[in-house]
Amino acid sequence: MRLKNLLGFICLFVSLSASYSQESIELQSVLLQNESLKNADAVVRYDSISVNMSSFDEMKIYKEYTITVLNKAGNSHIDTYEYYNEGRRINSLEISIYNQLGQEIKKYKKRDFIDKSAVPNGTLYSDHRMLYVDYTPTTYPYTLKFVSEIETSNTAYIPSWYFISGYNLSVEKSVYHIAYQKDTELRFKEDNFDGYDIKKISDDNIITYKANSLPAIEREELAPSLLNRIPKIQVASNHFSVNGIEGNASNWNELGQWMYDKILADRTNLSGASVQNVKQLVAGIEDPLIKAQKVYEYVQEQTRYISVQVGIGGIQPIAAEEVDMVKYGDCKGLSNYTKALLEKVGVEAYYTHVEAGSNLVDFDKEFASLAQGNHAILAIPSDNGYLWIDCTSRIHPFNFVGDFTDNRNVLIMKPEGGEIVKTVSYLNEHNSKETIGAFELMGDGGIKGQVEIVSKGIVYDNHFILEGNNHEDLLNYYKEYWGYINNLNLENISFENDKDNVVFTEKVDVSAKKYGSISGSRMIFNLNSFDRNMYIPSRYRDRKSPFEIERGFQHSDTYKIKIPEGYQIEAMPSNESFENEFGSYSFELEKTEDNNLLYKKKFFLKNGIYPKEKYNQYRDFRKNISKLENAKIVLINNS
Amino acid sequence: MTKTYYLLLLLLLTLNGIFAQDYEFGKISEEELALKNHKLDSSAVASVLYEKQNSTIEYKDGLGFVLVTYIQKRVKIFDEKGFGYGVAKVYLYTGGTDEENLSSLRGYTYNLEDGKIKESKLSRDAIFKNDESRYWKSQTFTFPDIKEGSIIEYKYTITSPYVSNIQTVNIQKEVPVDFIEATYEFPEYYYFKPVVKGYLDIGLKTSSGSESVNYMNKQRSGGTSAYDQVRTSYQSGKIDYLVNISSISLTDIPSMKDEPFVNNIDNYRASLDYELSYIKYPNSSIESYSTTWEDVTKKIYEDPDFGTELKKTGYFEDEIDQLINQTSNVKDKMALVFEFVKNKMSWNGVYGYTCNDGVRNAYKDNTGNVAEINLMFTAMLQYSGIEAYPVLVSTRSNGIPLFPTREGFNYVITAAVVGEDVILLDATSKYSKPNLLPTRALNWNGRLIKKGGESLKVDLAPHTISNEMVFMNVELNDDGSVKGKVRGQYLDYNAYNYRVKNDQKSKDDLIKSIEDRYLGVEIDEYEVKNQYDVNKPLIEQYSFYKENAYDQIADKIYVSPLFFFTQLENPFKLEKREFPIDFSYPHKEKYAINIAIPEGYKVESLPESTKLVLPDGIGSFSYMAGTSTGNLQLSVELEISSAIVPSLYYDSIKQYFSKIIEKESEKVVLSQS
Repeated sequence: MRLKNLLGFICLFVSLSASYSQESIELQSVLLQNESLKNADAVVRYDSISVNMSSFDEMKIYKEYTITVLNKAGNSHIDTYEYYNEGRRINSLEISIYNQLGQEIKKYKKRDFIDKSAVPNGTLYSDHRMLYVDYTPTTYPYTLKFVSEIETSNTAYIPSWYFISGYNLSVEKSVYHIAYQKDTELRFKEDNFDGYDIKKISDDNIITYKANSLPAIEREELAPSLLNRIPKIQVASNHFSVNGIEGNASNWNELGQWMYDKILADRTNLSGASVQNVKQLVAGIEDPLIKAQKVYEYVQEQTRYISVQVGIGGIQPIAAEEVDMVKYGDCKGLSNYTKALLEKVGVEAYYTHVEAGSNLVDFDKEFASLAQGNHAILAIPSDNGYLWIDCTSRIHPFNFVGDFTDNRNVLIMKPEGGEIVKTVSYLNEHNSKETIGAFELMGDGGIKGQVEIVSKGIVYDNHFILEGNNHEDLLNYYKEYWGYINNLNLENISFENDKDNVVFTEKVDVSAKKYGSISGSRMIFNLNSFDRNMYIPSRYRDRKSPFEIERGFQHSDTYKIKIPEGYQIEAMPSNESFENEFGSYSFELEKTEDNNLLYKKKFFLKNGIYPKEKYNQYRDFRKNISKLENAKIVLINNS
Repeated sequence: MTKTYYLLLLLLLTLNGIFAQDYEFGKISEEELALKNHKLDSSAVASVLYEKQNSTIEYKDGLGFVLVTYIQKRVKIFDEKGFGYGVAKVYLYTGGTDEENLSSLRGYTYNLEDGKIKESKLSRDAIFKNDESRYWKSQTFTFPDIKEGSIIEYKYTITSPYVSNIQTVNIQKEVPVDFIEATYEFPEYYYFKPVVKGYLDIGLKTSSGSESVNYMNKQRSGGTSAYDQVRTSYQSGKIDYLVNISSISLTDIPSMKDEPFVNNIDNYRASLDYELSYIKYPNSSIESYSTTWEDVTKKIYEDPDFGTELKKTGYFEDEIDQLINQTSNVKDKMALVFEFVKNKMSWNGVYGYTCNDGVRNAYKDNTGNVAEINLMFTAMLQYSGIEAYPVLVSTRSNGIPLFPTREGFNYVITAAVVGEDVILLDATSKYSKPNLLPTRALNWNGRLIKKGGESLKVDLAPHTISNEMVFMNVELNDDGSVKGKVRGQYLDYNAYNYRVKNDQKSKDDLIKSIEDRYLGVEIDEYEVKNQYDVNKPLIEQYSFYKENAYDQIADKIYVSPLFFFTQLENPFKLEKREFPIDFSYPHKEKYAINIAIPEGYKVESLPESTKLVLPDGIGSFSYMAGTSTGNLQLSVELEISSAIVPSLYYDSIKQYFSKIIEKESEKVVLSQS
């Protein structure tokens, strides 16, 4: 009873205040505070969500926000849609647009919204749909007010709350509100509240967070992910429901247990013939890891990845039997299928949820919720920890996942419950690239020779995909890779992919006309022909965020250079080396017998997060490197 | 029903004779499955072994004439990268009251396993149906068991109440096509016009046959009063009619490859389409759809969402009256109305030559699609006493309208006739000017429509050269860094592009975008003039600082005198080129650079002055270096005089850029005096 009243109260509050002039101040943009305007493309005047969880399988979400968009770039901060599907209903939805004076210029009621399938890019099918509005702003600034109410039975995903939802966006007022039943146990996790004016108000079964005046954050190069820096709240209920399946979990162990028992159970059956088949595949092999490798390679060869987003709450994999029949599946289906095959040959593997992407995002060790993660992989226990495999890749070596899922906390689901574990990390010297060249410089400035590139770690991940390219694509690739060499000509491209040791070797014959530039009797040319790292981070007059080097690497070059007949070295740069907390760089040039040159370089970059005060130091470091990478030598023709 | 098409029969026989291949559904051979690479294109990730389309307009009881399209396809997958071909998607139109209907779908994946052919059926569960939009539904088939070497084969029939909705046959695809055939059978009442695109000779063959319809009409009479019993009588009959048959049959079609500076690759793809020209039923008059440009434009003019909208004036009269009272000069009036519409209206990003919500609503909401804005604008000009017409355009993304079709257009602009001049205008972009259309509309020819639908061809390609002039003053510092000032002046499309790209950007963002473009350059004192005043040249000026900008080796200084303006990469990397090179508009860049020679140094060597001319006046490049009173002076000019350059000049263009890069990377050597 009480709760019902409460929800009524909230709605009443909102609709009442709409008729007072106090609200209309939020709809005007003539009198915006200077504070809010600083670095902002849009100003959130009021942002709120109000969750009412009336039982473990019933939840209403009332959303209301008002935002003033100051310029074109600010349009990216407005969301004018709402998703729905079978378990999620849109009760009400409305958008109003106001001009600078706060007068309404356009209104969209629910029936004015366009209905379409919410299939993200690259996904073949999804049972989600959306209602949206495509508003074309006619003047700036303008103010948009969005109101929606959603009803869902899916309480495993209680909305989390980011008080700031993007770059160059300031927030005047942001409110998170949740009401729940007496016997419901909720867990809250607050992050990055430091330095912000955020108040928490707890009442009987009602919790409210209020934040005021959050300044805009500028987008800056190399800044750590915004999601790890802005204040946020995560909320989860210990007793929840996903598409009618009930669950109880207060920590990762219990959540993993529930996944194992309720979602993953009975998904690994296979037909007798398929079981026989996989047993035959590993016949005679004792070592479980070698068995696992065989099975992984079999799956890679036999199946393909297709993104089909169906099944319970988007978390239940298609049954292994089905994947076995059609030979395709999404990440969940393929992981579960591989797990099933491994199971049949006595190899244990754990189904794993991970937040994939080349930017590192961890599962929160202290806060268990199903809302984390967007991808599934497998963990295979070994003597020293776990091996990781991604069953959606048809080409990655066994036990190599690359930068898609490396170095982050993930949830593995064991029969005895869930566990947070860190995946394998590829850092610093493990990400190595060795470029070895031997070439001859001609009297007309042309060069001709061979280059070999050996890659390991994440560098391997970026290079080994070349193997699948056709000749024409390869020519284009190298012409881009060495884009600074005009008139580049390539021949005899060959690769060696050592999957067991995860080493990729490229060999290519190169030649180019007029590589050296001739001025009178002199020829000037760049010593570093094949691995020029010219990157310099952007300049900021007033850097605001810390910066991050996510993985680090080591690049080393060795070139033997034969200089043309009749030419003498007139001037050459002197050797240099330096080292600091970001890494080290050294460069050596040696004149060998017969008037030839030997060039050696080593560039080591360390991973880490550094305070903003060090940004300029880092920039100088890269500037120095960029300069040396561009070092030139002058030859003179005395004949 | 009898059918006679000897020609096709003959054709099939001969083809089968040549290829000894069985294209019957399900007759997959081991040889096809064993293929590892495509015989003619070893880099192909997949190939179409066989594709067939039969489009027939048939009479169905209770439905009348309907379009029945039969599709059959056999696709070989060579490589993992071709796995995408293991998924097929079909779109069905559901626009009006009736829907297109897909039936008789069958599909299989074939693999060779231990020397035996294994077939896996496309199951019901693997067909995903989706509502794409208000007008379109789709069905996606995901074939099972795809591996390198697999062959998929499927067939289906689409029955459509929209007889004019003939599916385009894309003869040329991203992968090679081994054999493709299509037949079309249209009753004499429907006159269709073939629309052939691309560089391929498709060998369209025509013949005729006959068909007949047995129909039965139910007639009711009576029932007018309580005593007048209802009587039903049946009337049956048979109508014979001619069928026009056309067909194509082609083998070994190479794949399409995308290239940079291509307007729209679909312009060059070999394809066959049929457009309904007119319908003439027995004993009724011709209902024309399209045959000539005149017919097309007439039809478009008669479309109420075009012609009627163009005639409306009441909604703007008050405001326009006030505006045009200010002047009696026609050109000034035109400019006033143009600015008024540009300022008032915001384009919602939607193309089309017909209105969606109508001009009146668009005017009220200050936003609309292309037709709403430009038809409104045309109407305002006409109302102001200026001779003005709408001009139909096909945007670059829509391809070139080679043949008179309504679908060929998707955009409309305005032409004003002032004295002898025809001035083209587009009010959907805030930064357009008279005779400076947004680049999206710069595509070949448009059709100017007069009252009643009479039309004229209008050349849309810009002929004036868009100029860019850059003045740079540089000083060399002792430590290898340089500092200086740049002043750039951009005209026409160079200014337009700047304005579009930098719309509403803050000064910091403008600086950042230059710093990002020129690695390691630091910009200060940035200033831009006339960013929002389109009638004046855009002027940008700034001071810069760059470290490691020249080399000091031993006692000599080596300078690339264009510094960060040096062109480093050739945009043309491919060995050969099939398609014309589209630069969008003619342009000219001119750099005037002044470098102060540091105290104590003299010029030891200068790059030679050069002039390069492309054949047939397509373009030129000149480079001149000299000294005067302690200064080094450089003048560099690049000109491409033609918006579109035929592919036959590709080698010259590639060489041209290569020479420019070589020349610009040459060094000035300074030595101590």
